[in-house]
Amino acid sequence: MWDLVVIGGGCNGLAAAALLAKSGQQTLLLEQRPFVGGISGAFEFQSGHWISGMRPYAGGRNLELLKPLGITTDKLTWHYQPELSTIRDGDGQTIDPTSEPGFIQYRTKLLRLTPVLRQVFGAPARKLSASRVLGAIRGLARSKLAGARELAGWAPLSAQDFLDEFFSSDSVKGALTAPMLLRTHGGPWTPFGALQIMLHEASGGDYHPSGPHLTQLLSATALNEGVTIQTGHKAIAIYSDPDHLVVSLADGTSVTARSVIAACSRKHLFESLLDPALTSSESRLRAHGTCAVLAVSMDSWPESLKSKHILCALDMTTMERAFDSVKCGSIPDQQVLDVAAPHGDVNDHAVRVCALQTPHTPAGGWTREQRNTLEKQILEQLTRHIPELSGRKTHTHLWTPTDLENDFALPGGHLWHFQRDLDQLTHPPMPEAPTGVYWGNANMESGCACASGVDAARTALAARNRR
Amino acid sequence: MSSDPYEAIIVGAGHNGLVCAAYLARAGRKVLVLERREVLGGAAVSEEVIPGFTFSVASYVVSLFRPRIIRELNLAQHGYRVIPMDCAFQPLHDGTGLARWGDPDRTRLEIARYSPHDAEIYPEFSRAMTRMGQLAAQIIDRPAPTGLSWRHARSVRDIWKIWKQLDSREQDLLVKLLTLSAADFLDQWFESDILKGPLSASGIIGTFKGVCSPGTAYVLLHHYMGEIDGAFRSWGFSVGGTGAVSMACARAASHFGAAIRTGASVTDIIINNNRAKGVVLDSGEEIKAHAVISNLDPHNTLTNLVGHEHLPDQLVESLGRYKYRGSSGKVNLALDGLPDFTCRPGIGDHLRGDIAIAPDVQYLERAYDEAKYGMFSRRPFINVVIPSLTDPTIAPPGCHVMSCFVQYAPYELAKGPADWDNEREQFGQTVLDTLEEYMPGLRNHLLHTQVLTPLDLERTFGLTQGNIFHGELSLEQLLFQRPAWGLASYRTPIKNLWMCGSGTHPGGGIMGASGELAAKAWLRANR
Repeated sequence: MWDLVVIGGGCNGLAAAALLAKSGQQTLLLEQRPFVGGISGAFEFQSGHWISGMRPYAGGRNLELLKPLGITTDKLTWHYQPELSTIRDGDGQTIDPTSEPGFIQYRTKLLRLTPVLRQVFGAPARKLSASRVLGAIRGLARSKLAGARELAGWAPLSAQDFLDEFFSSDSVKGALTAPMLLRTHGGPWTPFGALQIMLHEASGGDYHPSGPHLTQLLSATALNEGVTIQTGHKAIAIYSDPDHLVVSLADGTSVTARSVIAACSRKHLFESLLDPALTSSESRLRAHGTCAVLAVSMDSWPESLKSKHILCALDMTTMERAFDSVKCGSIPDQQVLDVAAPHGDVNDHAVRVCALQTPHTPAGGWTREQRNTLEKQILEQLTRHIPELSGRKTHTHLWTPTDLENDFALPGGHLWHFQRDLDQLTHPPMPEAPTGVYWGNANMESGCACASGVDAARTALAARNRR
Repeated sequence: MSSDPYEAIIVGAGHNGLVCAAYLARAGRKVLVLERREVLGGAAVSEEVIPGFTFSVASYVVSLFRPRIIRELNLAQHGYRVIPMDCAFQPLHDGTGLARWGDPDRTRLEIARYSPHDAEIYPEFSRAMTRMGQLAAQIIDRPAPTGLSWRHARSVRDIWKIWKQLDSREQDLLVKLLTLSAADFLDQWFESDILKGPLSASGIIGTFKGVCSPGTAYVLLHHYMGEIDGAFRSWGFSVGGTGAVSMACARAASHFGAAIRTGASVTDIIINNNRAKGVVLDSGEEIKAHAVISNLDPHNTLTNLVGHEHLPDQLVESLGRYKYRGSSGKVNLALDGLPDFTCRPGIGDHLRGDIAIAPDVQYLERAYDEAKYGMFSRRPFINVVIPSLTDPTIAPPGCHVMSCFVQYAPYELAKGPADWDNEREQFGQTVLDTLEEYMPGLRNHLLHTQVLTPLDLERTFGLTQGNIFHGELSLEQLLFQRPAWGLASYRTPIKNLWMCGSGTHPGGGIMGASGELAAKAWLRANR
């Protein structure tokens, strides 16, 4: 019997397993895919061609959580260098929000709100208890209410209304709005877009097209600490026996453990692994994933591509129109692209493109024709930014949101497991899980910060120590 | 104070202004109500637009009017009478449409035709919403907490007490109601898109948001707060049109001794040393008073009558952010007979209630998508009522009045609001075309069509940008933020200038709560 079984070998699962093993727990990590890393890991989409993970934005603020494992920022070769990350508008023109007249005001506003946001959303959200509410009120009172007042007045605004206060350039507004498209299911005119922008910025919203280095480092650390990693093992259910838990696997076998950490999505845990009766219909998490990923390899590196990361933003109205299409299941004419081009790091000649605002399932499903349409369109847009692309492209691989859902067990294909909507952040549906089953809970810190995994590991350890 | 002929002048005789006047007069204060138009009631008004036909020109149904006001002002004696509706009917192109009745068993049979699952869940949903509505009603029946510090400990404690009445599932529900879109909220309960259509439509009324926009679940809840004769969530027709509600308030006010003048348009509020001293009428006449209480919306009160030069910069800034964005129009029809709905022919009980052209969620969202880019919806959401079936006094025998609330009709058209003067005719035709899809032959019965665009609502009723609620009911404009931080206690930075309109907490609908709470707050401050 294992002390702990960790389900899911993404960065959170790896971090949790490594921490547990380090504390002397016999730990087994189960990963359904042939490799660990999940969507953060490097991926060989074509023999010899690698891309650096699926996720567009990975925050780096919370790496301090990994200090106990000896992982610090200086151990990582971060790809991110500000001068090598660019933002462009739909026509390929470079945008620099920091040079806008309103930027300082905008930044000041966000910095002022960040402590309040951390107070409200930063802590793992369990049940809203009296002490938590009082703590929040005390915290707010300390900030002389100004922060709370501002948050209440600004958070419910749409991205458009919020950014209109600071900027006049439509493409700048578009660039600053793009990150919210990943967090929630909405467009620039959807209410609460301002909250999403604030949360993005408050969680250290820099663009780090990273991941692989971190997951490599994490899996090496985990193995070093004595974690047993079994890939190709898919957990399908968790049962509780009187004094231990049973995890049954797709191949018909099962493993027993004292505790289980679900580092898969919470939705997967509650709606598939545990007894579905635990989850009532009105407490289902909403997860409408709208990001497709296209990997493109080239026979040689395009000289025009100097940046390691490009955010190809669009203007606000175009993004809103794109959302109109997404809502009714058609592929929009233009999409926001997030391009990671880690030249010299993982593979010399491949880029990873996240196409935001792709419908999860288009009307009629993802037929070959629909896939071709999407791919063609992404490539067409990409050529505007990388003119040499058409001559040098060798291979492509497309993951629609449906593919991401199937391949990586992402609910609704949502890269962050569930929409970062206000109710799901502050008052997430939390059915009672059997004793000994833990799951990560971090809210604001998304991306490759491993906060959920660390949180789950700490909770599990604290519970073991109590016993 | 004694030299002033009046203790308070109330600017605007909407239902809130009249309720406020009645409360002040009841407390023995000398009150004068000034109304620009010749008729009383503001947007809660009945007018005989063509002989024999009384239209509830703007607002058309009653439910949210606070029972406490009816009791305290004895409105029943002054002619307040509301007949509850028993049905909510949703015509469809095929099938028989969906009617929800006061009788739960009948409703279950109707819904079961589309989804047995939803039919089973529906009573539970109604119970949960009613419970939430009662809870929210506790919030709208008291002044909003204006802050969160110890100074406001009592109001915070009150809210906390309400919160603690809930079990964790209900708390979860409340958080969702405050932040979700109507469509997402209903998705958690129901599977049938047809049922979700008219239900989610309650979430968009009066707002410029779609059924899929977060925040619309709250407006849905707003529509469950109503109460008629102690029965929650009942909508009803005021006998004599919604203007009769205002007239009952006016009679109560007069009965207690308030003076009411019509045709008296206030052009200026006299401000001296940051203190309101009275008003100036368009005739040039000056009327002095100890206090001025404005029933107008925040824009008309603070920007037009007071002027930004008298206000602190921070307030001017937040007033600039306060959103009106009117999104609805109104089409009133005088008919010489009633055509059949194709899906459910005959003049049955299903026509005596609320009829919603809201076939499904997608339809509503599409209607919104068109409006976002500055045009009125080609196939709009229409809320139809035929009050003459319930209240025969408002139309000649055999004839009917049909009132159509139409959304979306954005104030800001692509070519600007003034373009509404060119689009009015087409807007009316679009509404008739849409209705004809469900009740062919409607045009053959038309005697008169009255079309009110958002621009007309602004011109006629002084509703800024045609917003029927004096400002959107969105989370950042509610409670202590309605209409701006620091203004939620009905006072303004100008001494003795108060506000009592829908643009103050709790706002929206024919509630009278703003007028009542403002009057009570003023009386406490001026003992």
